[in-house]
Amino acid sequence: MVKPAKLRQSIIVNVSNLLTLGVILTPLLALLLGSIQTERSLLGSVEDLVPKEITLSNYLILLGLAEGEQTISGAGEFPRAFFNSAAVGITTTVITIALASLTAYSVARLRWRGSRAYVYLILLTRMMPEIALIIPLFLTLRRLGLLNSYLGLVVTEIGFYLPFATWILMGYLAALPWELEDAARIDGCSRLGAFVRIILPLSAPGMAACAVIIFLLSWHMLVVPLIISSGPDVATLPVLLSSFVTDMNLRYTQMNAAAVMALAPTVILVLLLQKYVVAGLTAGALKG
Amino acid sequence: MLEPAAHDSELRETQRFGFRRELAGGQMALLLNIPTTVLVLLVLAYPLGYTLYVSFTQASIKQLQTGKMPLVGFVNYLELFKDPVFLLSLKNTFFFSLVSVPLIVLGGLFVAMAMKPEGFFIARVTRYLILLPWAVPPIAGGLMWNFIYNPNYGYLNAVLRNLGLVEEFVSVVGDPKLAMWAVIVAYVWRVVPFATVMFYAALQSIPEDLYDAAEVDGANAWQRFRSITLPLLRPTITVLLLLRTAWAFMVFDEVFAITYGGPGNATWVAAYFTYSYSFKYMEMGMGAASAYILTFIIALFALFYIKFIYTEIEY
Amino acid sequence: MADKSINRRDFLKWFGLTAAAGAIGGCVAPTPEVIEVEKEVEKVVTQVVEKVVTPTPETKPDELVMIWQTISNQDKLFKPVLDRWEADYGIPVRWIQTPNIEEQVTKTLSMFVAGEVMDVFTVMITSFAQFAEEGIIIPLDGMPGLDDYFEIAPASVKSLTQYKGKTMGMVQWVASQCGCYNKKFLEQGGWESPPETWEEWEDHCLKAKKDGIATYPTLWMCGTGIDHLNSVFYSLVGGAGGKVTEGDGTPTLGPGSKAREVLTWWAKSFLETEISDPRSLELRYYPAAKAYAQGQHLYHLGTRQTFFTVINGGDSPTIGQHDIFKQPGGPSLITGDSSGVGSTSENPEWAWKLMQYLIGKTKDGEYLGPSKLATEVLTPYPAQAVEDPVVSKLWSNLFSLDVALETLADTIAVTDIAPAIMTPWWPKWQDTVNTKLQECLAGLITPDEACDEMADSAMELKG
Repeated sequence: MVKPAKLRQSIIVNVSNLLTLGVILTPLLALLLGSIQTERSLLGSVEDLVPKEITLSNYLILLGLAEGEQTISGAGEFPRAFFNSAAVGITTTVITIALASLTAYSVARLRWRGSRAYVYLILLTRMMPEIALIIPLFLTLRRLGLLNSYLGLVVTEIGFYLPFATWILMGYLAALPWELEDAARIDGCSRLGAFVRIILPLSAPGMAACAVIIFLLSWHMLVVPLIISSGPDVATLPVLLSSFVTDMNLRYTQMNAAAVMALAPTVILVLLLQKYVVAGLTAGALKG
Repeated sequence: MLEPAAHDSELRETQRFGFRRELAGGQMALLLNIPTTVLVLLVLAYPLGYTLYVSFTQASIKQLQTGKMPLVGFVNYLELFKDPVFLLSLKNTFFFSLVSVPLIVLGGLFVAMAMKPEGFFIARVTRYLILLPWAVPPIAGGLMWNFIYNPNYGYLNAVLRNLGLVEEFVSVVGDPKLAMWAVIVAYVWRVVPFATVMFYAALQSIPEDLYDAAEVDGANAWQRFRSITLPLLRPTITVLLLLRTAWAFMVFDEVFAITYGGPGNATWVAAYFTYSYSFKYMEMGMGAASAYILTFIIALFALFYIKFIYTEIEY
Repeated sequence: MADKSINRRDFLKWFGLTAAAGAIGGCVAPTPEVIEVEKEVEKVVTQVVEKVVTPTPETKPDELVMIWQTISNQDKLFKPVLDRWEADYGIPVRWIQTPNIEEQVTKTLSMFVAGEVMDVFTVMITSFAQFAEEGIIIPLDGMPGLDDYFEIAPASVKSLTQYKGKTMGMVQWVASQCGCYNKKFLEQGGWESPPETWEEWEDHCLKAKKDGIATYPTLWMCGTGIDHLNSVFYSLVGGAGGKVTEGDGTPTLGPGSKAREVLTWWAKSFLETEISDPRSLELRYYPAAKAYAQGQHLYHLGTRQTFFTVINGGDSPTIGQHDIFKQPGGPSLITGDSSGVGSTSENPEWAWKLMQYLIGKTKDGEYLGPSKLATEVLTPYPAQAVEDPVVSKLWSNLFSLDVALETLADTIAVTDIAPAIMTPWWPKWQDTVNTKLQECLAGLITPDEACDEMADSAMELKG
């Protein structure tokens, strides 16, 4: 015999979760269904929610494994854009974490005048919409000879993410116990030694959390590669996808397939490393 | 949090007793911050300074090229507040933020409460999948919503038609009354997971025995929520309201991908205004000034947020 | 197209960065290579500034720079053209690509401000006046062979390239308004041929609606964008023998004007007789064509010949059901984007040669570029393009070739209907026009209010 209160709770929990899952998944499901049919069947039978004929041809075309009679402009660049996104994302993440941990350490564990003002200032630099920075950023990067290069992309993105990464890591480092570091210092360890041997290993989970978030931001970044790239050589996935957000050359089903493949890596990453992402988001409470 | 003061000074006392000489905290901090500072100056601070300068000029593209941009003072800023389109963009931005932020906070709270109970399989599934929308790149999300809203073969219309709610396919993005809502839905969908995660973490930190005690006292679920959960979530709610409002003011991706500012200028938000003035009208000064007005509003929220975090969490 | 050596160098730079943790410093300090590049660029800039006489074409440049939209149409459209160029002249072309025309504008503006070399690039008709006014593009008058192109292009094409009496560019593609009809529905309605007047169009639609042939017999392309909704409006006004502005920008939208009459009729078709599909209000180029390709509408007025690749192309569920007809009333609107030679070009004469390859003729007089372009859009030289058997076969499969050529022969340029398009304030006014037209067609304001507000805005901008 189930208690009425328990039964009521059970109903509420089940219904509210079903509702939530419905809202989360329905748009993604629509996208998926829209990607596994031919353009003609999509346009021809608008009321069939589930396509009559299922085909993977859109994916194969984008991956260069099949020839399409009609392909969206830019389809052939998909693998390269995917590689560029991954390469830039990984490099950016590694270096950002390395540099941000130095700053975060200095703010959270060292005593110096203006440390707080320093992090506020850094954070405030990200309060302007990116589109307002296009021309000056282009000018800077051109002066440095970094246009249309991986190096330019990586350097710029690192600069863009350092404020967030610092903010997230700061929270972690400040929360670490002082005793271990003090003990190491008393044992003759230099400050840097204590940082490398004690603080860094202890903050590994925080860094992992931060890394996932930075990779995600880099994977999503559109404006920076748009400014820097001048062709498919270094164009990343969002740049390629943005060429589909247009009023020309539309192939809805191929666009949907491209969107699915573009969102897959970060979705999978977030599913696998969910614990870290949650920790990172709550520590940083910063960017969504 | 973030208070190394006592420890560092203690150590400085002990340093006199024979530790090998090393850099003082400040010097070391300086050293450690060189890379960050250089990069931030390069890719953020310089562009920000440049934009600030441009906002005080009425430079033509030609003048930008030669670098000879005569200052005109606050003319652009004054002009903007007389420009009906800018005021409309600000109004749209406020509307967007005032609607979407409460929806995000309420939605996040709802989902966090729903997925909190232990021992329910479905709650575990939600906990596992909740971050999915947040992991979708905004540009891919734009393509997705474009497809869903499409007035001719979109899934929204197909579903509504199958449910018998509409006879003819309707245009959402082309309707001046609905277009902004289309953007809001797409944005809220992407951001609710963020709020959920924050609320979930906060809920976890509330000790169970508080609820047990209240239950013994005969408080029902609603009373427990009002007298225990809500007060303890207050800091989280404040953080989310401030932070999400700041970010909502910057909305651009969704607008650009879904409505292109239209129909007419029904979904012109402030960032879209900046884009149009800078690159469509080539009035760089006005574009830069509008960006700074927006930044000023965002920075206000951000400063409140920072101040709040320090006063609230340091207890 | 990729310059492999540059590519490899960048890759090495990048790879070195990841490999060494100590590269932090390296990413900030410019490498000697970078400094070298920097010096070169400085040199280029000073040369451009000091340049008084254009160099003779005998001195071959090391490379030419073109900025062209779309990230990957090169294999299909321009790669063969560039290959021919290189074979003929041996000058490599650095191709800077952007995803869309919007980003192409931001890219060219950024490059211009930075003083980068830009030889050939697309200039949208809507920002043509600004690019000319700001000195981003240079006059082409006197370039060898320029006038030949205007002789063979439709008469209205030349005015799309004129700014303050100078030829500032060359038209790259054109779009002319053109009716589309659904053959099946036309038969069902018992009509012999598509309408020749707007009254007939309206009558057909009213009957088609009454008989249940189509819920909304007409689909328009009225989405928010660069030149979608307003182009259709200008075409309707131009076809009725009206104008939107005078040459000096004075609006001609007052009471009793053709424009006001047309807008009143148009709004009525949306709001009263409901023969126009309300979904038109969010449809831009391809979405409109794809919507029409579903086969729910009797008539459609489209802007670009690209439509026909959609409507009767491989993706269409109603393939073969459609054909085109000349827009009722008078001449139909023609518009098109141009290409320009940049003021930061070091070798304008070579840039001009390259531009001809892309959108005109090759050294041997072959219209290679236009015939490639003609597989996706209409070129100003259709007669030359259809000499290519690929194009003529494609076109005649998709639509009636005669009608297309006939339509093109009776056109009026957007610069004649709305001469203000050649003023720097045009983009701003255009946004007002789009907004007011959309509000009017959605029933939020009356046609009179819309016209008044558009006129007031033009007067204000004109100063």
